[in-house]
Amino acid sequence: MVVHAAAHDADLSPDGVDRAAIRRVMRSKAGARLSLWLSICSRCGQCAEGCHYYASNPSPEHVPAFRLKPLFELYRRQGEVDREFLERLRDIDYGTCTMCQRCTMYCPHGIGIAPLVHAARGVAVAAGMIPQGLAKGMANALEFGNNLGVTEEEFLETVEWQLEELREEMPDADAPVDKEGAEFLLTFHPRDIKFYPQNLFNYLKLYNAARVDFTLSSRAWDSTNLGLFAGDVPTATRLAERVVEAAEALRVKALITAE
Amino acid sequence: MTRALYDLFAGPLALGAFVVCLVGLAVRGVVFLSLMRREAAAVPENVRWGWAGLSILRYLLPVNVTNRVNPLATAAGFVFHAALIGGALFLSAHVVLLEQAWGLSWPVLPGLWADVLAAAALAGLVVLAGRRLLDPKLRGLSEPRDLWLLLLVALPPASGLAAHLLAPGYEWWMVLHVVSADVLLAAIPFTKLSHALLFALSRGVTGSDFGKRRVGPW
Amino acid sequence: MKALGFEAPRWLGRSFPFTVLPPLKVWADSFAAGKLPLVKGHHTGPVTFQDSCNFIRNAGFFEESRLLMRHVCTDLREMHPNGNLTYCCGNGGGQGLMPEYKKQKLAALRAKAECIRATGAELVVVACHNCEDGITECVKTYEVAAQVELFSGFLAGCIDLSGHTAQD
Repeated sequence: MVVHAAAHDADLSPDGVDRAAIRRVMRSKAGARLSLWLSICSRCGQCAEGCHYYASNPSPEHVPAFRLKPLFELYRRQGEVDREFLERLRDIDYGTCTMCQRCTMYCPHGIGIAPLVHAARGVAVAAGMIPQGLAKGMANALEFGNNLGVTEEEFLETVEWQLEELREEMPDADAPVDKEGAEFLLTFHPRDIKFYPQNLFNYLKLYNAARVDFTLSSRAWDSTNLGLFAGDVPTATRLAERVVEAAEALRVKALITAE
Repeated sequence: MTRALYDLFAGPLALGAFVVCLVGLAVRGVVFLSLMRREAAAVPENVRWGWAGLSILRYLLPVNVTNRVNPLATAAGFVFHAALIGGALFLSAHVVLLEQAWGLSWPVLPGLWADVLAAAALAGLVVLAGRRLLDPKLRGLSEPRDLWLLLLVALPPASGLAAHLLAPGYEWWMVLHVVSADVLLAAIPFTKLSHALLFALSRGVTGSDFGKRRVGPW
Repeated sequence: MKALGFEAPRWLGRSFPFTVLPPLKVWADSFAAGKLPLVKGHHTGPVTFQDSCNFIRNAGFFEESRLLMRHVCTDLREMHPNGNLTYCCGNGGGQGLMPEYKKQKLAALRAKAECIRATGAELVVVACHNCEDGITECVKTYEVAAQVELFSGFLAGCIDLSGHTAQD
């Protein structure tokens, strides 16, 4: 009985789909662009030329507009969809798109297919169907401030270590951490720190060679955003906010983003 | 009876169809713009009108990347749109009706053009429909109403042409002509045909977005 | 650029008091201003450049990338298509973290592999970490005889250190 009541509260269908959550995210996505784009896609297929999935393997499900079909159907049915439908949406919108935006260049109407795929992914997130790899990276990013789970101590040690290496060939090199008023805030992909410190070395070498006035933030140095890939806007917002706040606190003129 | 039907569909119901079309499109445009304005309250939209205009122009003329890679579809689409809109606006029979009804008038095309334009529009539509039915990528994409809409768009030029070329049944062809034209007009705001207006908004927004980032008008 | 440069203001609902730039823009500006000493023609082998959607197609930094590449390479070979129209590296949108869709991802890289092969380049320079993985998997899967290197490392190897040898 308890399960039953809970199911009722959350508008859970017997197959475990939280329709209320799906409708909430549908409402939040239904902005000017989405409504416009979903209603004028003419399914002319010109976007096929834009997609590397299609270029490599020309099958109908690799036409970019095909990725809009589940979203289109979802709005038409006002969120009344079952698990099977959502699994299909997930496999199409996570599985066959890199959101590279090339198709938009070929769309006569200029439809932003990537933002619509992003919206569809957001629906999958609301349905609890986020791919495990992305979910794990996001959990890391929320807990540690970077998606590989590097601690602040490890980060600072790596910077120190690479700076020492760099000074062997560039004695005047520096890597100021949390220096207020610097012109640039330098950020990284976490693997530059965890797996390929040589990358960090190269960055420091370039900025020192150019005598750029830069700084690093000890708490917000990962500018990747898995929330963007996942279509999870609340998480994406929290991750971006951390970097934005660090840049504001350090009063930099520009933020250099890793990707 | 055909006369009465014709008068009804070419008269008051035609007016109704025009009103539905124009008011409907206006509402869709206003809804879009007000949503845009609401979203811009938090972050300024910072529209780049120049890039927006360039982007619209680029995709109204066959000078864009899509046209280079898909010449057949481009030719069919271009001929179809130009012939349909040109015919609807500049055939003498249409302008005469407008003049009688509302006193509006503008230069018209010579009579011969009526058949040429109708045939060209239909030829374009046949290519588009053929692609939709035969090309696997479009078959996978298409929904039934994509074909129904093609048929609806084909009816006015087809019946107009038939009325002119086939002497018997002229009155019935003309009835079909005005009925289908009314339905087509009224359907514009409620279907993907709304791209008649919304194309410019969508292209403009995308052109502006990418102009802002210095990528180009796309 | 997509996350912090373009989407973040919408997510957070406000504009920021700083601009967001990709590294290659800062390097190109420094170089153009004569502040970044790069050895001209340092790389003599055949090289091509992967135009990342983050920095090129979605952010418009094509010219900046070529300014640097043309200076440090003597044999820069463009893919066709390139620039805004280049094919995706295959690894965008989180494809690198979704092993369940890896088969489709690799299948979709065929077009890119042929573009790279046609250049005859022995090295593909990539400006984005996602591209680094995508292109590495691409050349491996389709047996293209090319190495992959990040733009940062590629340029860091061309720095003229003469101004930095002595303690200031």
